[in-house]
Amino acid sequence: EEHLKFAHWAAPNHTLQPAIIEPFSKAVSQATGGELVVDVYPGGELGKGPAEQYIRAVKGVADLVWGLPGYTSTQFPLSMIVELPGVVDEAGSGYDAIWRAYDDYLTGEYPGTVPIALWAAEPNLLIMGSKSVRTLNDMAGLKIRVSGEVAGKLIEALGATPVQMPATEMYTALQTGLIDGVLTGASAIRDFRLDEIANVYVQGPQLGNISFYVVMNEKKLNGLPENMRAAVLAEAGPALSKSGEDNWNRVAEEVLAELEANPNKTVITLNPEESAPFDAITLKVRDEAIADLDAKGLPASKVLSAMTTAAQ
Amino acid sequence: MTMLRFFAKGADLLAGAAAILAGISLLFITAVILIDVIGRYFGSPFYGARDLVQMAAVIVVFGGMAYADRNGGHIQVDILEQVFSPGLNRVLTAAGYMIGAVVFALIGWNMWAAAEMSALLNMSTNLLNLPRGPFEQITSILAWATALCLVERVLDRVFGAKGAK
Amino acid sequence: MSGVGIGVAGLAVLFVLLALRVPVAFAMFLVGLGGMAILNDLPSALSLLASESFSVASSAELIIIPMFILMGNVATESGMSRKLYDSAYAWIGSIRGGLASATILGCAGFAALSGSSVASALTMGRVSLSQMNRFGYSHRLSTGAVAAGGTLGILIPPSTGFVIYAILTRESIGRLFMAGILPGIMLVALFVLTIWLIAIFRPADAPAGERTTWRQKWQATIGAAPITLIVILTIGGIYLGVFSPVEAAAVGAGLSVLFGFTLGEMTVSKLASAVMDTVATSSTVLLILIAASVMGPFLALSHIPAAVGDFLTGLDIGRYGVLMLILLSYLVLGCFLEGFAMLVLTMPIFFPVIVSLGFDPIWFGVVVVLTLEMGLITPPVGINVFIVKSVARDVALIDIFRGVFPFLLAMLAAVALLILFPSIALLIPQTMFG
Ligand code: NA
Ligand code: NA
Repeated sequence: EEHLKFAHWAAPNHTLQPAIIEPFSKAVSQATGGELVVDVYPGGELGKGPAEQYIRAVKGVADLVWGLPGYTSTQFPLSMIVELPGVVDEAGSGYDAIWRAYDDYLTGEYPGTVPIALWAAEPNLLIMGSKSVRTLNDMAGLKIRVSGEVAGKLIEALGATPVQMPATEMYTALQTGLIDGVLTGASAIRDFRLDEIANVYVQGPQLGNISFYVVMNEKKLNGLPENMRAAVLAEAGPALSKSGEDNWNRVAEEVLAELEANPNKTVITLNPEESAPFDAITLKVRDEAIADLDAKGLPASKVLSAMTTAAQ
Repeated sequence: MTMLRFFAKGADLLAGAAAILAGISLLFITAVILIDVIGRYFGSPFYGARDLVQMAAVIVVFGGMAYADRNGGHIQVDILEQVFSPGLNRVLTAAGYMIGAVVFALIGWNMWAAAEMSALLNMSTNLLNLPRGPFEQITSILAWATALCLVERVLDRVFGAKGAK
Repeated sequence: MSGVGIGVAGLAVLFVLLALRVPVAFAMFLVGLGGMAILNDLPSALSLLASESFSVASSAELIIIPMFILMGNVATESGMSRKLYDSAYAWIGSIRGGLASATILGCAGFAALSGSSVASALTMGRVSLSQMNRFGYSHRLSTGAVAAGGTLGILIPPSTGFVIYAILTRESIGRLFMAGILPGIMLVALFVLTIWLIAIFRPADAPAGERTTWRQKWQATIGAAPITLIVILTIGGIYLGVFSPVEAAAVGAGLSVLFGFTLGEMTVSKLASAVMDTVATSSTVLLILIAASVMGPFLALSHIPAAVGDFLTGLDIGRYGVLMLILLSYLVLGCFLEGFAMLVLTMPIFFPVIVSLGFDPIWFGVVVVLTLEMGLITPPVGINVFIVKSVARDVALIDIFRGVFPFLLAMLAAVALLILFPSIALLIPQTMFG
């Protein structure tokens, strides 16, 4: 019997469990007659800092880890193109976009590991304490919590003020009015109980998507007996990634449906016409980001077109 | 004996210099947060303040390690101190410092390796993209300095005239 | 040997190393490193030294520690802490144990400011210990009161403990915060009662001062005005959303420096000494937290919490029997583990059991946080006791543990009251949220 240690820092019942961990453990267990077992270490049991998550896989503290490229974005300049505004929309789905570009462009961003699943979350929206946003003017001066560089640039370009803070501080900060809102996907509303203190939700404009990886230590994978290695590789890739993305989208839809049904909450969905002024700005930020990467000698334009061009 | 005193003096200087670096970083952090708070109140926060604060915090913590040891020592459970003989206490204190020296040497050594890994992975802070490797290298040097200061403590306990404390 | 066996052996080694006076952090490093090397492999164990050191030292949540120590040190160096206690002494110094009770109230106030027990104990320790001793209080009572009072940081909202509990269990943060208020007040009352009893049975520990005239009272109060103003500005700033608790500490430190220089009480050399002292204390405290997070993965891999959970759920002793054993295992684990690591390791195991037994999850959150608070002051690994030791260098650790003991009894009484009367926790959240 062989055990694989799967480490993440979310709660044990986080969406990651049904989305990735359960299907993966079930598949590898079945394919190996129960010989390959996945042990889960949630809540940062094998180490807390999310930014060190990739290192833990490389160093073998864990065999498999879940993480956000956005926490160490300079490691993943090309993979993170999927997070730019409009990319997931134009590609149809985030996981497909990533895997279409993976073989030709992205392999170099994952040294020492083998990606098991790569996918994108539901679209980012503005989770606001009490202020409504309907036009660009409404954005002026708002303090919005962001978690990464691109999100920070988007918020600045839209005329608001980006604020950095740990995820555990978001709740109190929204409550006291230290921040006016949070830019992230709808599934985070449930993860961090933001629905308790955020009353207005603004969706419609292209504000990008967060993306995720699950990677496995390369040495560990290659050291497994052939049948186990084959079982892992058979499960890894677009199919498992799709399960991740579908589950994230499902949770986001549930959360938004609950919020719409709640008379005390306001969900503002800007129509394409109302969104257009926002999109004009955010898509410009995207073009600049791509041009910046190209200027650094990275094939960003090619990755973008690979991601957004559906396979024939 | 003179060698020992020379070493002790050197360790004092080293610990002091590292602590001054830590103290400057602490004032830097305070200033950055204050500028950020005031700026944000008027609509223009210090962009990437948290990046600067987090990296400077590592220097505060590791810069103060040797200094903390030399100004009161890292915390021990002294429940059995009175039960043990002075000689045994002296040996145990030296052994404790030795373990500390080994731990800090291992931190220093692995932190240097981590810096190489960070360079390979192109790791940097979130908004300002400050590369992480150089900060890990500083931390590594500070950890090695702490290890050296702890070795001096061991030698002092074993060969020094001050005896058990 | 099984993982659990190695885990237990590791804890035994830790116990021995601590008894042999190996500094706490070094002992935890050694055990964590060795255990991880056995249960996993040496290279990964060594890599933890670097990754955990860097991630803890650079953690955005923990910046609060050096910032609040700096605030406390600056307030002390500029004489503001002294004036604060002069004022408290003028008003209640003639009551036996009055200053210690005032310190507990100060801790409660500080708890409402920060979400962290470590920050509370550090700052209050810095501000109050030498002051209480100045007025003749014993080291044992003063350090015990600060170590115990500091734990209020995670019971009285805002609280990092409740946020982590909520994220792990998907319970409401708002309800948990509200549920912590009455138990927090109750615990403050029990602490004050404890001090009163100590003052009766050991009068030498808490001498009564002379009566003061109204003129003296008002003079002392005016003297304490600058620090009172700083406290009001920092707490007000948090609740008005001008800054976060972490930033409040920097603002408080900045204001203390400003007021100190303006009033002529501060000098550059005093500021330098406050800064260097902050550096030393921060390093001492953070090193223990780093060591605790190097030891965490070893205990996770040993599956000790899971083994305890399996054992408990297999017992046929009724729901209160299981609850008692769960709380007991928290107390035992709390002797070795840092509070949040314990929460993360045990919640997946115990929470479903508690819910299936029909206990209220919000109520359980309060009980667990209270039990975690106890773990912060139980030997041999009592983080808050170490914290107090780091600011009271000349007090023997064993004296602090002795001083903490009566307060530990008060906390046990609080747990008992919560079990007997769950509405102490549930009244406010049920009234507010239905
Ligand atoms: Na608190
Ligand atoms: Na303890």
